[in-house]
Amino acid sequence: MSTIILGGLIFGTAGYIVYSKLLKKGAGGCNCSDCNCPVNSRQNETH
Amino acid sequence: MKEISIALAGNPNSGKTSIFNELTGTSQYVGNWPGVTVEKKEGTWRKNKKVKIQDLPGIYSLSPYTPEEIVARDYLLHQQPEVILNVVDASNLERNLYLTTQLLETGIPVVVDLNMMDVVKKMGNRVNEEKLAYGLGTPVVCTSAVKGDGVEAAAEKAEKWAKDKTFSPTFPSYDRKLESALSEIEDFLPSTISSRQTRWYAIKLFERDTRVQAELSFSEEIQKEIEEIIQISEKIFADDSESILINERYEFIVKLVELCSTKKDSFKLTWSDKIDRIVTNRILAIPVFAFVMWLVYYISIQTIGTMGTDWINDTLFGTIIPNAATGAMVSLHIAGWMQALVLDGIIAGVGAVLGFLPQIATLFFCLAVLEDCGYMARIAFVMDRFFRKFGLSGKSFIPMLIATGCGVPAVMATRTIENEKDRRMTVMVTTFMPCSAKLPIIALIAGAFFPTSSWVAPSAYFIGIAAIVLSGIMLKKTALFSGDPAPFIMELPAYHMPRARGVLQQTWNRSVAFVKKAGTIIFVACILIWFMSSYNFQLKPVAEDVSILAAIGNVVAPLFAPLGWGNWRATVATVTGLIAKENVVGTFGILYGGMAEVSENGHEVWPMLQVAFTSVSGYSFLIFNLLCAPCFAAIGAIHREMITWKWTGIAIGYQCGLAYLVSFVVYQLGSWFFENNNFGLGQFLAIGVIGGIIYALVRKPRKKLDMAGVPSAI
Repeated sequence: MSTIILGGLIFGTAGYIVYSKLLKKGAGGCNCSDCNCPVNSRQNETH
Repeated sequence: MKEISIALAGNPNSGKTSIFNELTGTSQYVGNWPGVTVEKKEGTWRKNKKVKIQDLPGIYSLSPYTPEEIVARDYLLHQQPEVILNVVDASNLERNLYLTTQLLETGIPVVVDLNMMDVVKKMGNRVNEEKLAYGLGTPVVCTSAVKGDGVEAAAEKAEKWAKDKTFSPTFPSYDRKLESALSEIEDFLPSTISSRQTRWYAIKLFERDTRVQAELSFSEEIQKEIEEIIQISEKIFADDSESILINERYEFIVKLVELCSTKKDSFKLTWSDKIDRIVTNRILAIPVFAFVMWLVYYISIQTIGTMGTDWINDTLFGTIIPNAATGAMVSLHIAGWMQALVLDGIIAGVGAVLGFLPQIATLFFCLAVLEDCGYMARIAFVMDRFFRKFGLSGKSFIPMLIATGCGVPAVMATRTIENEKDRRMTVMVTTFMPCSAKLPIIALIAGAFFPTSSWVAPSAYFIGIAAIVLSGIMLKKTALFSGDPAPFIMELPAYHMPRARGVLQQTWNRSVAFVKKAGTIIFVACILIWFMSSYNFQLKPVAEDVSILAAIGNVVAPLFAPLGWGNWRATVATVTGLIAKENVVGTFGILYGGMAEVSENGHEVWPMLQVAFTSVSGYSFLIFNLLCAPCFAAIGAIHREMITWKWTGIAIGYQCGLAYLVSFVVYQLGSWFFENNNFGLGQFLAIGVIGGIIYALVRKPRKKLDMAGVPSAI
């Protein structure tokens, strides 16, 4: 049971990271303090 | 309540982004050199969510000569913010007020923000803001953005001014004869243009601004009459129309500055000037720069930073965390394979990357100090002189400075380069600079193979610069990139003591970003690498040497054998580095660090690396990973700037090709010189490669510019 819970935690986190960093619209590979990325959705429209 | 837009407009490096960050509570990157903001950014004022703040790129005028000026002008004229907060560097009033006169002419309410008042006071100068407000006919506020002084009051003033129903635009008044010409042109303007904007359009028509001419599309008859008015004025003033306006604006500014400011002694050399005499000196500049960068790397990689790294590697990730995790998992009866995933995959991989945090944070701190005190801006100036000798522009060096943090914004920063060929070339070479993600690789190789040599870590920085300069010389001689370098105008900020808040904030932001990346992208990559290195294609647990990863790595590995590291582990580490460069170290952590039984302490990776590599092949591995294709995020940025896949392919192909050749030469000749290898075909070919590079550097350039097949500009 513990293995299943830990597995769910690890693979669930990994799945969320893949979604938010790679699949989600507007996902980027670098940090905002470095990249000057848009600070809200209206900015995305101007790109 | 209606939404209000406040646009922050001003000269480059006047402090707009600092004010934007202060008002919106964001942490957009602020650089102590011009050209950091290349696109407008929007945020919401913390105090009033109905107020939007727009951070525009720094510009010197509203004449659209540069990409930044086009972005700013298009926004101001076509999206019309309710008010402009014109950020003015008060320590350089004359030049900054030139843009102010143009902003006033747009008819949009303007609040002038005299920023850097702390610098003005320190210089012993004074600016009377009431007199300035009277002369400009618009409110003036004083701020010191880096200290956060007066910023909220400036936004409040702007909000109040935007809501002022009694507002009517006040324009700088020029020579009577010019005013009469502008008034005559105004009579031709269609009634669709609002009365606030007639002055702007009249001035632009007087300047023969082609964009405005096209927008208004007058009949031929009206065009002719306007042209006559302009020509008469040109005869009266004995100058061309654009110069007439420039002179009039400056005359207005000079009178205004005389009225409202007092200067201490402008002929006395300041401390800043005295320091510049040494650090920008024609002969001393480059040696001083080399020494400073050596010192920075020595402090962060070899001395102070390494103490923290040793503790994290040996104690935290070597003993405390693995022991605690093992104890917890055993007591919870976690399955063996899951224990292996956590210990040999996640802790070994993520831990290997996080172990370098102290060194990297120290390096971030040193670079932030150099940037904040104004030294890095001097380097761009020094490099312009150096680059120009080889046909490159100093403008290309600004993205390279940004690249020491991350390659993605560096590639984006190339947008400020107007010349398309120079921009493409800069995109191709800018990621040669070691970004923060490559630092763990540098620290790993320097620590494992050259623990007593202080030259290895800084050499990575200088190899990056050398690759850029040599690439610039070689590429400029090809038809694809030939042409004169673009002019580079840059204002040097005065030296000042680094501000603790700014330096610590930048160090903190970048360190947090590094940890976040280790906890996200590297975490996922470690799970994948562990799985692929522990199972075979039938999904059965096997030894590493017969795993999926070994099977794939062994196919590609022979390609790297001439570089001295043709083993599957190094090959796989290089390939995983394409996801994120930190992965190179993370992969080594899993593939070498997991073998705890062969190691006596936490530094499992180092002895195993020393078995797999020689010093020379380790250095060759470092050089290849420094110069080859960057991570996918940076490749994506390259594609966005290059537009076509053909050009993206050329860029990536060039980077990988150059990395391969340089690593090949280093390994073949290095192993012959330092490791007593026999002189053979490899060494012969390496000398041939050097000959080829020398030929590419000294050959005569192609004179004819061949534009065929070159994609259009952005």
